[in-house]
Amino acid sequence: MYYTLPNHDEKTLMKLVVHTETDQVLGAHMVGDHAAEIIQGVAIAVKMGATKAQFDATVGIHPSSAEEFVTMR
Amino acid sequence: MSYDYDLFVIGAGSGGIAAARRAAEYGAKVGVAESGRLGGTCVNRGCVPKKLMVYASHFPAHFSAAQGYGWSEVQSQLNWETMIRAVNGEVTRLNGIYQQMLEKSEVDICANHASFVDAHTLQVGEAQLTAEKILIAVGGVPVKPQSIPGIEHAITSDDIFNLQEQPQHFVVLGGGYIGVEFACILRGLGSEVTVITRADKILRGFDQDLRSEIQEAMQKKGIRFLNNTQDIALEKRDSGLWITVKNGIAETVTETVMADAVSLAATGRSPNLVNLGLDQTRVAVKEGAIAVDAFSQTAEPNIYAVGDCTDRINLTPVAINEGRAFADTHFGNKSRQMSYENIPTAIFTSPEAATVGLTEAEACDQYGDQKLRSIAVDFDRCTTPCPITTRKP
Repeated sequence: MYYTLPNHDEKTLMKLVVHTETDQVLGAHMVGDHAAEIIQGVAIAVKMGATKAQFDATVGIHPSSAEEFVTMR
Repeated sequence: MSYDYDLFVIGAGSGGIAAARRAAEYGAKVGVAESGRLGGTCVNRGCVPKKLMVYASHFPAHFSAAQGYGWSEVQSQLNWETMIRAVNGEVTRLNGIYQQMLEKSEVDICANHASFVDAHTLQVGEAQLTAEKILIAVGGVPVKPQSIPGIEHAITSDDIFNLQEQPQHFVVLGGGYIGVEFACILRGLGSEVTVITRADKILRGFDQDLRSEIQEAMQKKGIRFLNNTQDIALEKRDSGLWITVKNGIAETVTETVMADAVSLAATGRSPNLVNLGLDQTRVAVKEGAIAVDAFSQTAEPNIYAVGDCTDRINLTPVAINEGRAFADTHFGNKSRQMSYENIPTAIFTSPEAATVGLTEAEACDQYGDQKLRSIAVDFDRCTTPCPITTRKP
């Protein structure tokens, strides 16, 4: 959102690798502003063995980039 | 038999300091030897000064973005010397904080190199000290591949924090995280930057999508890449440093890049085991690193090793956790092992990247691609969803 008004060409990538049978989130990857700050929190969930359904059941913080991790389909 | 110390730690970096303080808090008599500045690689020539320079490199983009929000154009020039002085000032402040923390924990600090006389005895400067347990936490050092002709003209990440002048054309040899981070820092600060890698892309070992995304973003910011290269050679001429590489795919094509006497060999790190006297003990060294078990114990039962000198996962928080697990186990009556699963890490490029858990390729190897789905959103500018790709392989 920060780059909208300046019209800067900056992209953000967020990616989850999920096991289809157990639904466990095996990996989370991000390129974009504040990636380190965002992934630190996601890492707790991944370390605990959270499922994609549990990610999805978490309410996002809006407007943020981080909310993509709980809204992506 | 009584010893001078319950625990003596060689090296006051992240792992050594964490272990020394934790053991001392449990009541152990602890000493630590450090021949350089307190804090090790992270504080003195790694994470800390690196990230401060990353912040410095972001200002031009902020100045430019400000105009989109109605601010007038910002005219500002970097004074390299002022930046370097400020960064090193913060490092010195942290050195002092580490000293105070160790003193407060009643850890003896010996500002000397330590080497083994035998499994329980160390030569520390002029003195010989004995300890029941010894922890090796000597860290790692950058290595320059001696097979590259002219490599002596290249600097390493250790030297970059003390450059007197900003390099105008900066060439990075190596596409690992240290190399790409410095490429982004120098580009942000206004230098022309070229990154030379042997692989087809930067950041081998990270997720493919993440690697592509970062390299493309760096390219957009004007960083030039020479991937798939081989036969790198450096030559010092009056006009500067000339770097010649051969394209590994079309072998007849050679490229020459000129740098202004500066080129960073970000080509890896290795454990710093020189003059440690390990041959006076039964400590085993495997592929240049101290061999340890899950409890960080070496082949000599009273000697342990943590951090980069064991070449497991070379990250500050890992060394700290290994050091504390060691202290908890031996001095706190809480036996535990460091857990190496799902260690998150970041790459402080511009844009920044971070990751935890398995890459898509690792997950495929482990579970088979039929049992996986990868979900990605790739968006630009807006934060509310405008996904460009959503993939379910």
